[in-house]
Amino acid sequence: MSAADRAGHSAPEGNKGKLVRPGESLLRGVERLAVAASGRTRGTQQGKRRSGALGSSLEFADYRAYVPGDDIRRLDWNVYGRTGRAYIRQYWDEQETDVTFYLDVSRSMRFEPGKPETNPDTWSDTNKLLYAARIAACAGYAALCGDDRAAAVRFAGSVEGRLHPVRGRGAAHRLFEFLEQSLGPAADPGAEDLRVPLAVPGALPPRPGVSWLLTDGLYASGIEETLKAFAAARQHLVFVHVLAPDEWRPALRGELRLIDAETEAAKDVAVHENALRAYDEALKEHVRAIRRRCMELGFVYFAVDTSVPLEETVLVRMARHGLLQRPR
Amino acid sequence: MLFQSAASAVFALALPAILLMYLLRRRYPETEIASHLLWRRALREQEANRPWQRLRRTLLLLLQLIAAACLVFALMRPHVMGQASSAAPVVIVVDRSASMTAAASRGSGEADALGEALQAVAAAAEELQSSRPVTLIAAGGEPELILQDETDRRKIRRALEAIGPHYGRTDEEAALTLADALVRNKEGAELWLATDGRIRAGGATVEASAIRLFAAGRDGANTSIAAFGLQAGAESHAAAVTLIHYGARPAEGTLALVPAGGKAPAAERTFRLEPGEQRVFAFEGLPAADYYRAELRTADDYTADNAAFAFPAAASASRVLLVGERSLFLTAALELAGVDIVQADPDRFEPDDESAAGIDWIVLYGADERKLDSAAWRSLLASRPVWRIWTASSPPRGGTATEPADNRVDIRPHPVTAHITLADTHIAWIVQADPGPGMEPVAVYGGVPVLYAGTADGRPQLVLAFDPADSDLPLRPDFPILAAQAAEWLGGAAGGHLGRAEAGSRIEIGIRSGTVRAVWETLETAPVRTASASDAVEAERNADGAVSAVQTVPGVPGLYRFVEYDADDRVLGARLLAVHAAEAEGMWTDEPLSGTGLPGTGGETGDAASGTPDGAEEAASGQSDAWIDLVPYIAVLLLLLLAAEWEVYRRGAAF
Repeated sequence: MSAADRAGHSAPEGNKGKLVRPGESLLRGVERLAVAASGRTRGTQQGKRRSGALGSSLEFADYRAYVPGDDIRRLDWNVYGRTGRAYIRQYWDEQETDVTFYLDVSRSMRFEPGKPETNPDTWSDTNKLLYAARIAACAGYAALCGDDRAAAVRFAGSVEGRLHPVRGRGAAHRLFEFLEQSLGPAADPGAEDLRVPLAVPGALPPRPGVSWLLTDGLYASGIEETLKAFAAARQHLVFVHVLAPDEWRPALRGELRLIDAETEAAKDVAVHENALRAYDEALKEHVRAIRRRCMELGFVYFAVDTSVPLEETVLVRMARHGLLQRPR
Repeated sequence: MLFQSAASAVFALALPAILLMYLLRRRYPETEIASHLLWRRALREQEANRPWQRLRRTLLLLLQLIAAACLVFALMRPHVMGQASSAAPVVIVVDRSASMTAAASRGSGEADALGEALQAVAAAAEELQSSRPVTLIAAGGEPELILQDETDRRKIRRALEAIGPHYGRTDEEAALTLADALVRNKEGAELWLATDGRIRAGGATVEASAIRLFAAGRDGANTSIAAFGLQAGAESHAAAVTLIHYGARPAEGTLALVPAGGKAPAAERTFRLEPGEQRVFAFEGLPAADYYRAELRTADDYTADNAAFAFPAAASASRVLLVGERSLFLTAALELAGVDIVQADPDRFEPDDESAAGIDWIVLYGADERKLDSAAWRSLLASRPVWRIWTASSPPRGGTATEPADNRVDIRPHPVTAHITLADTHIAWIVQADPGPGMEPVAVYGGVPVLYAGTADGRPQLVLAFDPADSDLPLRPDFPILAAQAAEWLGGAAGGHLGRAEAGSRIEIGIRSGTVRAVWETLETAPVRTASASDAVEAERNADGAVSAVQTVPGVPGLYRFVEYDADDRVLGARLLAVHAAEAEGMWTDEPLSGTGLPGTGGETGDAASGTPDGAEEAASGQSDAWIDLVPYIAVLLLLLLAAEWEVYRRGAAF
């Protein structure tokens, strides 16, 4: 049974996106959700997002005194009738927003113990990259359904590929296809510093919008700086911290030589209670540091355990966290 | 390049050991994980949280500092003074001379000084390091090597217990020289000397620092019977006893003469001797007895010379059958030697049992043995000692007369040649012939043997290879001496008693013809501690199985009887031998340890009475200490440090 079948995913369009495309029930569930965006958005095309600018939507914003040249269709005749003064009714403008998914495809993400990382078909459902790609597929589908533009970037040691913004539900397959391709072999094992792939010119979206960073966060440095860079790029970032159950709760015991999947460096570790406690402390500290930074920047931190079923993560936990919400 | 301690190369084993450590170091099962990042942080946290981990590098540094300090320390070649676990030999010389049978020092609880000394040595040997080999030498007539390089303490103790006194002449000097040779040039070797100090070791050059003295015995007094003579008279015996007193105070006691087999003394005399006094006591009118025992009843420490034995000189002379032409010189010489001569003309005389019975030995003077071909003659010649005198006029079969080339004389030691030089003797003709089996030339004149001696069937045989008439020998003093000594040797079996001899010495005994077996019987012994007092000891035999003419005197002072038996086990004769301890042993000295030639013992006579002198003990303990080289220990420490470093490093890496 393939990973796709196990996860309840279907592949209506042949092999394209068969691993990452959410199943029909999940798609139905996601359809009704929209990607949350903080504050006013500013797009170029009409969308469902309430823009920071006043525009032609139905949502009333304010009154202001008539000045010659205003569209008289917006004159509030009732007020003019009662007071004799001309007031213009103002409405919020509604615009689309860009949702960019940054998918970490480094070797630590695609790490699958005992399985070749080049063959995603053999991966288990708890594989971090597969899980992250599925999250991106769900969230991207939700964005496309909400008249937002969805873009995607995959990166390891550098930006490996980019899906330029697509719009509309019909473009969902392009997103899925791109994500499916991301599962394939990466040219670069990954970097120790998150700034290496992301804090380079052109890596971040040129326009303000929403960015989802799907990564295991196993970077020795550069996470804070990268978060700042997203803030500077006027992005509302959702940090999706994807870690496998083995990483949340290591099942290692005894004296082991741990081989790093990315650097292939070896380290002799006597794993015992104290060591596991120390690991837990280190993990908590790592998570705490990222979460604190996200809070400082007004970003959202979302920790994911890949052993949790995708439906629960997407439909329940993300909705509860306000990452995906029902549109008003 | 010089390695002062090439044996230290064994530490090079550390190199393969280190290699082994790397080869055999723990291998961890390899486990692939996504990233080290969190583990690294966890480990770092551990290190930061634990003082031990924080100290890890410091600890390594500390260990390395210690290692370096050890290296420097080792290069300084440190030594400490301590009990070296050495294999330095210990050579124990036990003086077992007769004087060691004297009383032990007061309070030692031992019967005599020898026991006391052996006890002290055994106690000291018990405290020796078990690795040290012990060599045990007992001083005697010749030094006896009882144990060599023995490390078994029980064997040493048994050997020490088995040492008994030696009453004969004791050559301590030889024992000390042998012991010194064993310890010389051996580092830490010790020489232990157990003695009462009454030794002669002046010539032994013993290294002063290496000797440890176990002094025994006390500074007592000794009254000694220096001489005891018995003169047999027609009716009664007369005796003379010479006493000498050694000691610081006058001695009083009783001198008793006890006849053979008796308990009650025949004569008794009290005496009082001043220190160093020597006095002769004469006794007249003693009842006739086979022998007398002179007995000292006094309080002295040394008892071996408190009894002496004497017996009247035997008067009986031997009888010789002189076959051949009558020689005035020979007859005179033999008569001078106290021999009864029976002249026989071989042409007319045929021996029979009756005439042969009184014959002790035979002289064949120029007689042609071919004429003595009868069974009676052959039987007689085969059963008696024979002195053949070859003459040029009637040489033996195959004999030729030769003129000696020169007058150089070579005399070999033999009882017959004891006082003979043949100097200035001219011999005209010497007969050269086969003297027969078992005959050895004992005198050679001008390259030609002139005197053969030997035994045939256990009977002494003598051949004079020239006619005294062909030489001027009868005019020389040598001739009667030769005749007397030949008579004594050939007719010795017929002679009287054996006289006096020193215990353990070797004496010549003329064995009676027909003797098949001889036995030493113990009649009485001096009042000494006897190691093994058996009543009868089989006499020594020579290589041919016959009773040897040279016998070892019994080792314990006393009176012995040498009894000879013939083939039918009939007693052929019994001769008395008075055995006395070595005379020097009884010469008691006031300060026994001084004047022995032993280094560093002169001032310790005061301690001698109290057993082991303290000074000797201290010197000995100083001897057993040695400088111990610390370098090997440091090397071991370094290796331990290396192991510790490795362990610390390993633990640090894994946590």
